[in-house]
Amino acid sequence: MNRVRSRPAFAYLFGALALLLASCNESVSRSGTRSLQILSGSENESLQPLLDEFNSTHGAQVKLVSRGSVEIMRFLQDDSTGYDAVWPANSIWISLGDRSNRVKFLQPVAITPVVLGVRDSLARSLGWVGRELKTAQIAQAVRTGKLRFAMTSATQSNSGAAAFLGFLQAFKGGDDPLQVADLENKQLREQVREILKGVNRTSGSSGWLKDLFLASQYDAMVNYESVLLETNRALVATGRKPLRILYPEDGLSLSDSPLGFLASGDSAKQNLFLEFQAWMRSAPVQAKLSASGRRPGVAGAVFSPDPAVWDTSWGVQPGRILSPFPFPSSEVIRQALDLYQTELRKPSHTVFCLDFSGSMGGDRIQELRRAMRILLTPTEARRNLLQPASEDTLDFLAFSNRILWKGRAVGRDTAALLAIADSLDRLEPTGGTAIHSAAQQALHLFGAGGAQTHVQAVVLLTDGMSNEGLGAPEFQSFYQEFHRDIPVFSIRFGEASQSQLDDIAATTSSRVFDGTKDLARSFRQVRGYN
Amino acid sequence: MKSRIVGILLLVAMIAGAVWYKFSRGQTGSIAVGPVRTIQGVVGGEKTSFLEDSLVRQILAERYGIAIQYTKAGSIEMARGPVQGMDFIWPSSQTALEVFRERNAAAILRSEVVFNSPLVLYSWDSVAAAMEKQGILRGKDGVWFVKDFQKLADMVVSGRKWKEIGVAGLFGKVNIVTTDPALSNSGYMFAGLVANVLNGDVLSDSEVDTVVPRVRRLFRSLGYMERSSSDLFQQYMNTGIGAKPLVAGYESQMLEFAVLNTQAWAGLRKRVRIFYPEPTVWSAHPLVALTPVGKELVTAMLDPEIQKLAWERHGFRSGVAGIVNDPASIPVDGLPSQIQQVVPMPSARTMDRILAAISAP
Repeated sequence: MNRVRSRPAFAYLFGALALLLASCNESVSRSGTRSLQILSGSENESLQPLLDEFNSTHGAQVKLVSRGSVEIMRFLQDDSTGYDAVWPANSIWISLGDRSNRVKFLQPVAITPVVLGVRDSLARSLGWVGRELKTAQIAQAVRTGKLRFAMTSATQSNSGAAAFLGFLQAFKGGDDPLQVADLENKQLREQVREILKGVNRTSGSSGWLKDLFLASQYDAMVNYESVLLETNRALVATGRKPLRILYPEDGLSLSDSPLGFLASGDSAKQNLFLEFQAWMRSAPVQAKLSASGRRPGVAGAVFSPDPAVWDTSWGVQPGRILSPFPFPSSEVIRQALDLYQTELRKPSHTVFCLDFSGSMGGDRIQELRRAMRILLTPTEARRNLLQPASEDTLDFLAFSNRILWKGRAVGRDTAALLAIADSLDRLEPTGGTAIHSAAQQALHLFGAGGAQTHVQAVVLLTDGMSNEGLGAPEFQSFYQEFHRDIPVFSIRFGEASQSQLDDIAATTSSRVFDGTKDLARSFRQVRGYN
Repeated sequence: MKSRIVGILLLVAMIAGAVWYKFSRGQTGSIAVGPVRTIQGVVGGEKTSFLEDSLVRQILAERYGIAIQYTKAGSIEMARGPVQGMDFIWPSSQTALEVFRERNAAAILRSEVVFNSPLVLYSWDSVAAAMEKQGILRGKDGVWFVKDFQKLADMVVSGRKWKEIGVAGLFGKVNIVTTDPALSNSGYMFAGLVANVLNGDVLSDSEVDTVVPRVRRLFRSLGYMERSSSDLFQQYMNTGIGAKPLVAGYESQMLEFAVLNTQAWAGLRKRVRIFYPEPTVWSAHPLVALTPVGKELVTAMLDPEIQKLAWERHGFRSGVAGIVNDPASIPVDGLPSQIQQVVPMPSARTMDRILAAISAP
């Protein structure tokens, strides 16, 4: 009897233990899923193989979400939720953005300077090989029409911002950092505006400039030493000539690739972060980073540059002491970036081709209108550093199987911009889809010689598949005979045909943005490219 | 029936045991004195790795039943900021304490300078060599002293270039990089030290106008200034001589780095240099308790074992009378056993005027 009666007690016991254990396990899995979302500069995309290695060897899911470094600063300022860590290209963007001191355990991962890569024969004919380069010489080459270069947007990406601030510093002259009063200096503004006229292609991401150079022939780009080394390896591998790497002595800046945790009180996340950070900074991984063209970001780390990667015949100087110019104060940086957007950057001429075919009816057209409002409403545009400059031209083509409506706004004509937004609100979607014909029409809107004064681009927003008008092969042959380097970017949403848009991107050396999740964001993104 | 009671008792005991096990594991992994209380504070960035140190955390939990949660802030920033919900603040200067006391005297339950660290300059071998030739540094028993700070300050103010003073390969002018004096204590103390040096003695309120233009000039030539001394130190170490040839910060930061990063230190030890200004200023670390449990933290920090860990692993010289800090226990060359020449900071009022001049547009 006793034995029988004791059974339920043991049953309780085991049941209770099982419950306890279950609750233990549950709490582990709830707080320790071993996943990290890192908001990261696009230059880290090429580190994906290293991330895969960490994830598989450590049973973790560390994911990078790419954003320009300047965008990361804005993210930290506004609302730093939804991510566990940040990893921009330069710690200055964290210092400027992290007003609430949320970023902890900040440590650099790798160092790379922002430099200039120039087609070797051009660098030689300019007399730039084998001596120190000054920013004034770059400006001289632009002025005489010998040099045009690609660079990322200063209001989105660190390399573009660093180069732009470097230009301001170099033209101001002297070693003292830029002050607010300098930004008012007319001569300084003119000099910087002039050097930026040399920009033939711009982008929101430094990694993409590499792809552009590999896909087509360009003269020069401002980019990270590490990206230039990657570009050169790929150029050499496909039998082409590498770019000459040059270090502008008076306008050099460093990327220190700082990785920091966004404190949340979740200790499992914090531990995984520290594990990942320590791994990235460990000697074997630092060696892999230097094999990928980065300098070690860990004090005292051994840097033994592999001559096959750090080929000094390209002009790369692994032994060079990197002496950057002093970054100006945060207020000066903020005002300088505003000035870039509204006054100094090369003006842009952009044609927006907006799909108003029947399939766009309902939510989609509302979303498109909302995205256009971000650009067309001055307060919204300013908040997102999208405000048009005084010499910008914005064209709008609403199309279906024909052109439904056209509009144009020049400069900061608020009334014209708002009128366009109103017209788009009134226009109702209808009819079939003729994407290639619309793109062709858009390209015809650019006047001859406009590339000297404006960065030109078409931006296509579509949810469809071209089923009328010009076909893909006809568009391709048209573009080849067109003989002008004007990219046709696309933002796809709904069920737009990826392959058709990819073809257009390949033909015109551009890219496709995914607008299916957040149209407004991809829209901001594409503005970095024109 | 009896066995049923035994069974239930056993069940209760096991559950209690399991709960205890889970609870204690969740905290420190060993026996705690009563429940461990999590306390909240604001600390200067230079103390974060001391507070993250598992040995320190263990003593705090086991002996004092305290677990610390903190947010990082500049000393002056925290002294002026809100402290609702905080059990303590722990700035890195007496001045910050004074600033805090002005508005919150009643909130302070206890304050104790538990650590000290002198303000020093970090630099590199080739810079040290050039500065010795310039007559700015003198070496004594392997320690580098800045014997002519006035000359160094003049060099910065007059815009001399690194190349001109014999440091090859460095672009630009001689600068002493520091943190934003309006937000961070190391920059604040450096401003005070420079003002004293340019004045030839502790700067008094009536003498401010004579030195302020030069102090302003020195700071304005820095451009962007970091807000945290720990971030600046990271950059000094990781980006090297090209980006950060000469930096003002706390002695403790270098010592802590050397102890906690043995491998990296092996590669750096021969190249890194510490310069001790003669005289220098003390960065005191007053721990300011705002609640009863905050007071217990003060007691805990005075624990001789914590004091020992603070010096040997984190480079903080003791603020407690009678505790000796032996340089031999730290793998850094050129450490003086005592900091002999120390000058007081200018008064808080004088400092306000200096800061206002630095940040005026």
